[in-house]
Amino acid sequence: MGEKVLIVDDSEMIRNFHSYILKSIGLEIVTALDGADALEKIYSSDGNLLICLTDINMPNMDGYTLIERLREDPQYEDLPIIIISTEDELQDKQRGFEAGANLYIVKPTDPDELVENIRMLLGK
Amino acid sequence: MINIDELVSDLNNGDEKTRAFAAEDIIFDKIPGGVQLLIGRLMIETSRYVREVIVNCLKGIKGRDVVEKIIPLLSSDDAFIRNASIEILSTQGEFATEFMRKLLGDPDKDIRKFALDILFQLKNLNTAELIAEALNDPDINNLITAVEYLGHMEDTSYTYRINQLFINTDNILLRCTCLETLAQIGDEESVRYINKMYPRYEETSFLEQYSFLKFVARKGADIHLPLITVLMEEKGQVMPKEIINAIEGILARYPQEEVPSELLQALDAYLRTDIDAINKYELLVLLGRYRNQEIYRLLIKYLEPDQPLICMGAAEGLGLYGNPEALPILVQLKEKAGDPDLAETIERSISKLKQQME
Amino acid sequence: MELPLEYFIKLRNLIYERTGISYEENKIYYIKKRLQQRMDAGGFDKVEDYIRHLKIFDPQGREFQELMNLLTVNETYFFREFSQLQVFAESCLEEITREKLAAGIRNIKVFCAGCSTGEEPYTLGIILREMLENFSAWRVLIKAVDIDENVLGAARRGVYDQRAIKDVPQAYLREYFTTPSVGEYAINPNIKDMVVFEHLNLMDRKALRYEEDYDFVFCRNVLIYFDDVSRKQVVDKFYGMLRKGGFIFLGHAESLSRISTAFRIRRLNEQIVYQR
Repeated sequence: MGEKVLIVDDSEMIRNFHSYILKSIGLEIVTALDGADALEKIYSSDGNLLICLTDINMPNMDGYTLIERLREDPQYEDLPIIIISTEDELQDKQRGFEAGANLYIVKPTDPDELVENIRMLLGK
Repeated sequence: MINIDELVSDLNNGDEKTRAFAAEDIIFDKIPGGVQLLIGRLMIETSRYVREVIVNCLKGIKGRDVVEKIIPLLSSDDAFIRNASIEILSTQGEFATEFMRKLLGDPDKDIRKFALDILFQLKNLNTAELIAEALNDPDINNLITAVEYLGHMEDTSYTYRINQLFINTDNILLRCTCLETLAQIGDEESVRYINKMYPRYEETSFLEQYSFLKFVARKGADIHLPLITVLMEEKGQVMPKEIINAIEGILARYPQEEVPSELLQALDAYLRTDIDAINKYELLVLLGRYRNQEIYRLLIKYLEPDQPLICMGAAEGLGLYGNPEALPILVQLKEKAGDPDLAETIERSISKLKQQME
Repeated sequence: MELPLEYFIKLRNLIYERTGISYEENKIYYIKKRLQQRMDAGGFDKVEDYIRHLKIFDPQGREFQELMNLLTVNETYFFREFSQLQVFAESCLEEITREKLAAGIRNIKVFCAGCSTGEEPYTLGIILREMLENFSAWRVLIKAVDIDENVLGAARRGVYDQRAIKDVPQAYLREYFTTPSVGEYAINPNIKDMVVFEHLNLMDRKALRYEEDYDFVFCRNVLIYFDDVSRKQVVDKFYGMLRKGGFIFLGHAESLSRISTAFRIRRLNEQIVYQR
């Protein structure tokens, strides 16, 4: 099972767009509709997750809760997590970092910036 | 005899089960002020279980009262409460549309976004019109959301506006969203604009190629086939789904007896690559519909029972292709087919071919 | 009927979003057959139109439910969904018994919802008898419920045919069944006595309120017949019925996360399990 990037967003277009960006640098993708679906996908796989990109406002489970639950699990304590959200206030970003995110990007995503951030987080 | 005080007290009990049951009873027994009681509890409740019970209860109540009380929660700092509010409002029904119209004019861009989300879930006759108002939204994310939703709703009244957005924006995400929406609701003008934007495939950025292929799948023509063939060779491993859909779409709209020979050659090569079994299945079934001589040989080649999904594609394709010479081969194959779905598919093709011979 | 992959995926995603049930790609033929039936019944020529109908013109979800009824196989037999029973037997049970022994408690309570003719609760009885060390020192209760009195009658009788026992390991067949006549298999009293059958309607608002302290709840392939709100209501009840650390099992293709996020999700023995 190859290492994959998990893209979590309730918008199909955003999931697609971020998939296209990451496929263009040779990464394999798994997508999820919301935080609950993300946990389902994560625990169904054998844990070969490279990085997780997540939105905040989603049905069933929001991004902050997803990140907090992941950080509770020793296996995902160090998983690089990037929040990609329309929420752009300082308090949203603070909340994100408190939850355990590594980076916070405000939508709409700049493809080059996203690629650069991912490369940086993955140390390549 | 329902004891209201007891219920209210239970709603704040230390035990989560007690709180959950109280919430249910308050709503079910129609306790006056019940909605406000539950909302009050929701704001301070720490148990996710009880929160979800409360939200589920509120979802069951329809009416202006609920809508008016829930709307303020859209501004909550708590993401759970914001999203629960969206879910509750989304189940309300047509009358809630009026409230959303007002929210579309809210100075807070996030509130406007939530209104769009709710309208999209509400999905009745006038929601497309309201969502389309966001095509004027100063916030680009809301604009993109509106374009996306109008595509899902397949409402062609706004094609003109979206064509304009497509040709005028320099934001790549908006352009991709327009492309994918125009795949659903595009018209001839859309095709013209898109051919103008991407005269040669090299000028399409890799990102846009995905969305472009989606457009071509629904609205493209055979002039796009050579371009797809090149993409198949160069990027076929990363975008098989989009490429196959595009080919299927175009061929379906331009019915011919035979697949153009360059395309057939390219597909032959494509089948030999590492794309997933399910994609090969689809290609083989697709090819079965055409009459090129080479297709017969190709289909026979992929009748390997130890690759059941691919074999199913080939067997199904042979049934469609209609060459009776395949009959004895299929009959023999059926003996070896372990997978019951595969056996059934082969049997169907056998019947088809026999019928043809009569 | 043509079922381009694109529409197969759209349909599959729609089903997953609404019910949490997932179908793998190799199920394309399975779905195609049943989809054809519904399309014929409704007079739809193109899959595209049928899917649009489901998304936009079926507000009460009636057609969707008809489709789901066709897609979901409702056969019951002993040791159904074996890999899930394995993780129950080998990992979850072990965790629960360890906790209980440490606390000096020796009871195990299992709830079996939608038990039908009894194959599932009796299967669980066999597993518990096999896996619990020093079985006689434990008090085991399996409460099995169903809304249909007829099936409960059959469950209490506990006599089965060849089809129902086809997956029972030979050793267990010898140990836990007798054959009163040819082709008939009767479950032994020592397993029967572990199970209490009860008539119960899961949709009844107050039905499960007094059930508590369960270590395991099994509700496999039952919730698929419920609508969204009712499904959530039932699962919330199950949460309340479980002890802290207790496990809930849905059918292996059913996703609990689409119904409730109150449970903790874990990976044990390469399976997903859910705990209170």
